[in-house]
Amino acid sequence: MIDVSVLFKTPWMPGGQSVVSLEEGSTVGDMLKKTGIEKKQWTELLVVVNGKSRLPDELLEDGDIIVILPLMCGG
Amino acid sequence: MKAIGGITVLNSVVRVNMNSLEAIIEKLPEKYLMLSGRSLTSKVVSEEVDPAADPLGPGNRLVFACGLLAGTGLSSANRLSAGAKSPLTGGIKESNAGGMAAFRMARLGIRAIIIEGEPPGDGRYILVVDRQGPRLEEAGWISMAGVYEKTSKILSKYGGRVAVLLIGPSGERLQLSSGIAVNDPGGNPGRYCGRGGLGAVMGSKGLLAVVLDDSGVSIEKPVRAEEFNSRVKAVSNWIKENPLTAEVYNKYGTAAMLSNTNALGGLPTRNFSTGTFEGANKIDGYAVYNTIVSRGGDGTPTHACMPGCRIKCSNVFPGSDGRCLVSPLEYETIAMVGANCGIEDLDAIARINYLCNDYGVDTIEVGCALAVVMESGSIPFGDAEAAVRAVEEIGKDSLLGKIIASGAVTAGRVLGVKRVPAVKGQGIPGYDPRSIKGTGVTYITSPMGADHTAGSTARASIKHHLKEGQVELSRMVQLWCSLMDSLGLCIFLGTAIKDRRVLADLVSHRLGRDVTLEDLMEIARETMEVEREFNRRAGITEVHDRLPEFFYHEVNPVNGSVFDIYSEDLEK
Repeated sequence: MIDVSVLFKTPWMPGGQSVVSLEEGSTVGDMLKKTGIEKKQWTELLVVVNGKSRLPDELLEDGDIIVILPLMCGG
Repeated sequence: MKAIGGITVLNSVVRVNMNSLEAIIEKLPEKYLMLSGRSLTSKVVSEEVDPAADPLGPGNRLVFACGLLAGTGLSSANRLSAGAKSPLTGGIKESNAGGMAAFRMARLGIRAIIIEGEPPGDGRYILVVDRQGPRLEEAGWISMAGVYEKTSKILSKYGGRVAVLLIGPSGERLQLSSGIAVNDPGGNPGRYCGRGGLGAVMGSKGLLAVVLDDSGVSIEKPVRAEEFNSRVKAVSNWIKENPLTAEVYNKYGTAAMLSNTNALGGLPTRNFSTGTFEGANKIDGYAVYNTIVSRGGDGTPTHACMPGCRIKCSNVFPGSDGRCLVSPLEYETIAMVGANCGIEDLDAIARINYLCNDYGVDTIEVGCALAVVMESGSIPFGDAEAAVRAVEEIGKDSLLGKIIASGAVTAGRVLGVKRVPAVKGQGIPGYDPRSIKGTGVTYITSPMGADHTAGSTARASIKHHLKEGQVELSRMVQLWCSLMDSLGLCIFLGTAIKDRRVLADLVSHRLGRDVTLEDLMEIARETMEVEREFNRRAGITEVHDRLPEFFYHEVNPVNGSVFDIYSEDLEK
């Protein structure tokens, strides 16, 4: 198992930070599923892992720090 | 003022000759029928301005244009484009803002206002356009007053419902970071055509303000009004259904972006030395929202910058006494005056924003220049009080004030700072190009110089720190921004639009002439080509399509990235 830290900064979703345990070899998509985010919502989200944006099929590692944000452009 | 025959909608052009002090109405040439906003300002500048002309001389033109969909019930359709040869970049420039001006222009049936020449002596003028037509009036009574005082005096004289475009003392002094302010529906002049020093161009023409009054003018309806209105309703519904436009922009404003750039290592921090700011939680969208709501008073987190906008990303930021400190307080200012200067005090950022608005300077350029001053050692990073005092020097027109108001590049040269974040003379805005590389490609390839509004790629599903796909992405987004700018539409509206063909429908029904999305895309493409050609003839070529050197070798410590997209990558 691996543990990753997940911080939600998506205003229309419940906020807060939690540690999520996943099987070895889990992807960003697996993490999103485990945190209850439906696949159709993935296109609206930006997933940042250790300061780099990641796509759903990419692997996660133990200790990754993840932030989930709305996919947006600013002013 | 009566509509002129031929083209049925927005068929007038106001032409102002500052040499002879004459202002007349011309019929919009048939060749401009489909042009508005940026496509029209850039076309007029390319046809009427010698690319070798002095940007602050009589040969430059200052052009204002509303969009084809302005003045209607459509949400987010009243951006005003200002265009000219830029004294900051030396190339063509278009900068647009919300506010009342495009709305009132459209209601007057005016598609463009073209200012040419320069006045005799030290004359200062106001252009007034109302139902009697355009005329120049003497403006000595507001000269050198701040933007807020000027606006207040103008609204007292011409009535509270007029739209005002104006410059501050900085524009009158021809300083390179000067913008053009526009009043919002509440009369507050907080909307800015900020970039490229267009306020200095306006100052060089001796023009302090443009007053637009549509009282007593009968309004042109869309030619196919019923069809037009059904599309307007569809767009409004999309805005309500989209979580970004209904929730994020609406509640947290553009400041919500700060969490994203901070997470990506893309938040300019201490003169682009890193991309994550330890004080981010104190200045992000949540902090702005919570501060506004807890202080109450004049404050509101949800505010429309233009008539009819249903997104309402603007705000009014109050001080601890509940009185308005500034409106709006937005992402770019918070990023560049805040994190980029190491400042985590929202009140200080808001105060600097207010001062910049009052002096009439661009907060992005000032944020860049201020951080360059900090890098020189004159002021410590993070010293909010010293930063406020330094910006106050612009108002005093002291030597330091002049340096800051001249922008990042001049500040770097005067102070001997090598790390100056600018492209084609214009300061880089709130996205570190090493961490959000598509936007970096936009900075280097856009005819506008470093400008996020020319094509911000942060919303794409892509690995932003890697080079793969960024050139194509930037090209696509720049084209889309050119399209939206050319219709006078807010780029945030694009977030909600589910089917882009609605834009062609709206234009078709407004004009009573069938237009396809491909026709509009072609105008957007041609506009960028016209701009590039102007720049080539002005001496700005592919050689200038690059970032300052430090971005190519200095690692962004958050994600280990450097900017690694070179000229050979751009040619592919």
